[in-house]
Amino acid sequence: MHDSSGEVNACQVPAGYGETRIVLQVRDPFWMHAYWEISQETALDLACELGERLTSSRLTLRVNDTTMCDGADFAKRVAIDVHPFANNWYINVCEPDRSYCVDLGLTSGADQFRLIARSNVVHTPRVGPSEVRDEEWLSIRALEAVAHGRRRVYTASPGIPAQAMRAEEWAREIALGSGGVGAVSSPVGPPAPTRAPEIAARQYWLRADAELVVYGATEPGSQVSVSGMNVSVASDGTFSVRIALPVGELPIEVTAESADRLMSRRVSWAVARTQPADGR
Amino acid sequence: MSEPKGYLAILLHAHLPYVRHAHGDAYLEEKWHYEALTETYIPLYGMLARLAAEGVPYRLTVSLSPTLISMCRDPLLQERFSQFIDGLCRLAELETSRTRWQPEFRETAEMYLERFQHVRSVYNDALQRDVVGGFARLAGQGRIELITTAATHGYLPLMEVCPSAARAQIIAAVDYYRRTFGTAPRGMWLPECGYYPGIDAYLREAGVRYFFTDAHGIENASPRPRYGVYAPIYCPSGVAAFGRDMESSKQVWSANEGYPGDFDYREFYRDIAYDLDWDYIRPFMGGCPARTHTGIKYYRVTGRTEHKQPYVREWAVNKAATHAGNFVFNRERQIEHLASVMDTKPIVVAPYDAELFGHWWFEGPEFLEFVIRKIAYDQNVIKLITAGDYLDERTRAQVSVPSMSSWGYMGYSEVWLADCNHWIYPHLHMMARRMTQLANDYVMPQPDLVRRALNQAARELMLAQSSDWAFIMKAGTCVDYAVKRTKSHISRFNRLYDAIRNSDVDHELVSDLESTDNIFPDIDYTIYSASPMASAILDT
Repeated sequence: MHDSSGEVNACQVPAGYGETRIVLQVRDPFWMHAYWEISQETALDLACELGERLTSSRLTLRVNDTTMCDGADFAKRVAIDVHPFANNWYINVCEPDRSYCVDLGLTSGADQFRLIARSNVVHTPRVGPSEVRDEEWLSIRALEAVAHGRRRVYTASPGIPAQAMRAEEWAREIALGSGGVGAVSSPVGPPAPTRAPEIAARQYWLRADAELVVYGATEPGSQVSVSGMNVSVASDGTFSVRIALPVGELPIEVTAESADRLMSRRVSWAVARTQPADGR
Repeated sequence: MSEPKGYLAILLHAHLPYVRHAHGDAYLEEKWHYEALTETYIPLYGMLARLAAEGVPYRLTVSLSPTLISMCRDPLLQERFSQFIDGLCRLAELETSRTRWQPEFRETAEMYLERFQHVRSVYNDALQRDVVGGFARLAGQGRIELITTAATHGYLPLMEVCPSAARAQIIAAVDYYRRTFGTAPRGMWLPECGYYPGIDAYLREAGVRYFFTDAHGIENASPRPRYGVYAPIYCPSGVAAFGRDMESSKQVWSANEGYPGDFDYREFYRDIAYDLDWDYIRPFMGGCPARTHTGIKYYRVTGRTEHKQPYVREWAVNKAATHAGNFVFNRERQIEHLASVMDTKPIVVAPYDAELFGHWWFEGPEFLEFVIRKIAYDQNVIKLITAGDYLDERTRAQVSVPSMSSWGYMGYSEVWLADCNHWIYPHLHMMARRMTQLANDYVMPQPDLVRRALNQAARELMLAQSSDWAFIMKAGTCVDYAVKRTKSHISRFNRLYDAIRNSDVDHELVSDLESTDNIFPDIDYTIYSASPMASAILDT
């Protein structure tokens, strides 16, 4: 950046914000994306709490279908083990038009889950027309009046603070991983745009052409024409014109006429291009 | 004209991200703006003004993004554009000489010279450099309905987790529109047609009557809309939603099946910048060290071949007329059919990126002119209308909640949320959250420098949120620039945040950033708070 201040110039983005949280977003009816950060503090707490068990723990996302319930007990739940260095994941869901939230936690042993953070709730869009066919029609006047003056209050981003959970290396790994150092994304995530592989056989090529530059000088202020085209004359009397050179014989006629139109001069010649103009 | 059977609402959405590098001398990306002025905005304005002067009846909707308006009104960019168009006229002049013995190109070279000189004279004389004012006059004459879009074209569905940021994008846009045009916008174009249920509540709060979604946003609404996309629905919040008609969109949009790919039209990619001697071209590259488009292109699409044939203007214009005839004919049949099955007058909504016309599709403005004339004089089945006018004619509407959607690839958010760009969201969301906390914590900031720092933080957040950056990262061209822009706004925001929190706001930092990222001079950071103050701004 061409900034006036060298300090403004620095565009470092933080690796993390030191806050344990997981955020869930909808990508489309069948895919969601979650990203998270586990703070150093949380990681150390986990290490203290789990001790030896931490090394055998797996970082897990529990995808909860919250469509039918408000509480903490979810009817449907899917667990996805993710790479300990991952800090985001694309989550495939089979059923559209559902509400989901995701728990980030550590799974140890058979099914012991330690919650690290719970995400916001999202709702995926439906695919296809709605099954609801009860039409409601209102007058536009009533509709546009209905919400008039109503002000809704919205809170800030619902990144939920970590539920404090109570083994050292593992914890550091998690903290590092969430710091974006070795960010690993979902192996089942949407495919990245792939670059075309190097073309196996090199396609060597050449393109060449020629143009003609007609130039000269005369008394400043003169009128100059080159093959019928008026050419501008610089204040020192010089002129120059560039002309594409097709195949054939091309007559060049340069004429100059003094500013007072009393004097004139003419120079002429012909240029011939005989080679076929191929390669274009 | 007898009573029409239905309506066609053509919408042109004009937007560019805010690119202004006051201290740079050669920013390739600033050329986006100059090229769009030369090829799209000024020619479109000229065409619409000419039709208005001739008394041809028409009604179009034009969305001018707040970032684009800001650039069009910026004196530095105005001066730079003036230099740009002068340079282009000089190059076109040289081209008319250079093609002296190339009859297959010379007429086209002369056409460019004439066009660029015309653009220059419209810009300097008719518009007095005020392009936005030109469109405002057309709106004043009842020819176009001007609407707005989110302040920096932030992609709203990916702000669902930080609603205060989505709301601020809308409120700031409406406020800026009011300051620019002196009236409130009736409608809003949601960036990338990106909608999620709930965003309408902010539109309502900002006084916006209607917005647009992609076709499936309406088709998948609930309860199921009786007329599909051919009549607006009302969200329970009291804001109307219009759905895009896919048939009319595809005919114009699709590069393969659509009109713009016709073999007679001008080929976009074959620019003289890549064909001619570097020494000759270099003075017109605006200081950029590499070859970039000049806008002078001599070939037609020709076919699926590298061996392009010379452009023949007459054929291209004739083709634009043919295509316009086809377009209008199809709309007539479409509306006749719809009218036969609907008990209310159908509306076909056809939104396009304005830059398609003239920039990508060189003959686009001519096509549009033919469409307008044919609808005005050659038929009486359809009538051009704006969404706002259509609502004025209605008395009843169906209540339904549109479905989350966008007009991006596959219809949702996968363009803006992908492996190559998802790294931006932890930052954007944290910034939004911090901005909201700042707005709640600093109600009467003292000294004034702190207020300025808060306003600047809001600008940095908004600039970082432009959907263009994520889009460019996904599209794969100019990625470095998009990454750099995103990172610099994140970093600038965080510096301001830390300074404000540590009560260590430095005059130099604030002043530097104010002049570097100078968009929205009247922005008020309190739009990020949930206090009544934000609403007060809207009521003034």
